[in-house]
Amino acid sequence: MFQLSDLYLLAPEISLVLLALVVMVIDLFTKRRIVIATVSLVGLIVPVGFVIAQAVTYTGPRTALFRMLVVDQYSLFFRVIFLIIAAFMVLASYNYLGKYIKAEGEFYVLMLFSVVGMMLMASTGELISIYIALELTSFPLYAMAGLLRSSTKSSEAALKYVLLGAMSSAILLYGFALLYGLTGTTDLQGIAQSFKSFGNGNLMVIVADVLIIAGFGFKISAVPFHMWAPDIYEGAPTPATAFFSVGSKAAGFAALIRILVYGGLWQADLTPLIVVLGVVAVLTLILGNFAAAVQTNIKRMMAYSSIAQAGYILVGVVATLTMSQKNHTAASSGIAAVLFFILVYVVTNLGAFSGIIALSNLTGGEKIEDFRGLWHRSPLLTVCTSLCLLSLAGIPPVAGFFSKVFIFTAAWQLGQPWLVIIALLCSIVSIVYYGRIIKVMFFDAPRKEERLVAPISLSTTITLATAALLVLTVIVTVVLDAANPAALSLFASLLGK
Amino acid sequence: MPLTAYLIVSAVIFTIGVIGVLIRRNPLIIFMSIELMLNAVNLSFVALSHFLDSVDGQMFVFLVLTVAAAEVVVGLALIVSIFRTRHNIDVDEMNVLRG
Repeated sequence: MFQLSDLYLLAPEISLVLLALVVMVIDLFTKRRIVIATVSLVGLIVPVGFVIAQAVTYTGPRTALFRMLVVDQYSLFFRVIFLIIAAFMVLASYNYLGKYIKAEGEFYVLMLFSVVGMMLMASTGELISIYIALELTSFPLYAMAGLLRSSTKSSEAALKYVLLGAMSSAILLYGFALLYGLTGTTDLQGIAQSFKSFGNGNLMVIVADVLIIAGFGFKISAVPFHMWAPDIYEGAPTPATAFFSVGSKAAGFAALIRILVYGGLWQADLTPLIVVLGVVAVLTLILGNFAAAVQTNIKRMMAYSSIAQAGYILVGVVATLTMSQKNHTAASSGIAAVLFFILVYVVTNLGAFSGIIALSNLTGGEKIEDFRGLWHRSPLLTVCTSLCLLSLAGIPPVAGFFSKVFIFTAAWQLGQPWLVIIALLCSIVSIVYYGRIIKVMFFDAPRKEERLVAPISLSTTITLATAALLVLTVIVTVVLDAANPAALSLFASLLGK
Repeated sequence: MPLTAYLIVSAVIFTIGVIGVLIRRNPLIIFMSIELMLNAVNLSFVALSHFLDSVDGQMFVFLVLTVAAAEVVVGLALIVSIFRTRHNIDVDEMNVLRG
């Protein structure tokens, strides 16, 4: 049934699409970067306002448009994350665009459209709309990767991204087709209902699980589907890389968790599902961390580091699935930890990337050795970037420490001690490579002596990100209070019936 | 014909597509292979839709076709832009970025 009030539930996405169209039209008339960026940033207030209004007046999960749209605490949580990403991206890319890309309007429009797709990926409860939202997210990303038109690296990265992205969505679709064949519906709640009656040992269920994990494995850059990430991160314009590393990954996890938990796939053949995801998580952790340790280009290092971070998130997902058949409330603690981890990861990685954009813009190099002695040349940037890197490494007392602790304790309590031990060992390795950059910046002799002055937009971004990181550290319990019901809301649909 | 026959044909076409993506080096051929994979999926959707007597699968096929067309547009635009700068589109020659 369609009602006019359904439009209110979709209002954040609708207003974001309108904003993107307005920015596109303004770009036709004025080429002034400051106008376009200001309109994008101010316009974001409208979708943010709608999301806040929906969160404040929240009374329970609501569905609309033939159950294609699901507005529960889970989707509200992710909508907030994606709007944070959009706001940070407008600020962080401002200077880089002026310097390297002569297509500011296009960059912002593509970014906003992609964010719409990400928000929809978190808030749809139906396979067809998940697929459409996924492609709405991906197409702008392909174009963004190739925006540095004079650089062969950039167009090469974009082409590789299109080819691998298209292949991964074909694999995902094949999984969807099997799911549809097994259950006769594309509605996730319908799928959850019919999975109740499935016993174990159904080969088709296992194949569908594997195909869906493989399809999303590309989006979240989990090993063995990670090959694209380092190449594309290195070749693409740095702001676009920052966007891929947080947006694409958070959206991929949003949809994967939605299908696995809300779609009730855990009700049949749980053991093979856990084994497959567990193996993927372990491989991701080991390869991501060890490969990051040997990189010399900072963008490639950040690519492997973001692969490694996906591994920690997967540990939380596996832990939830382990307990899902026995105790929903306990199991949801894993997802709550994952939600908190994703929020912290998004803020931290955006901060680290804006630091890297600023520092590599100023020094003109992307090698780690180009960052030597930056402490003497640009103290504020160096301190902020270092804080973000420390948080990524999970060193107390920054928020990244808490997010790792939550994931590890949840996984330990839910019965995956071995995964926790492996993840702990891997995060010790990660201290080495994050620490190396910090050491190079603080203790090595600078190449030149003159001071570096970062452009105002970039220093604002990184200061904001660091401030947000510190605030997150202080309000950990508040965020967890929001994450816990969000995680539980994924199980709510099954408990209700 | 039984449903299994359709699903087997679809699985075979899908596998041919995957092999094509993995071993062919020309981006255009790779696109064709991806198209093969998508059409294999479409075949199973249509077959399943008919046998389940539900129209959802056919809806899915329409949307997959449309999205696939858009995907090729983005890809071809990038191929054109690469060809303009280096007059060669073989993916093996694309080694500015190491894998």
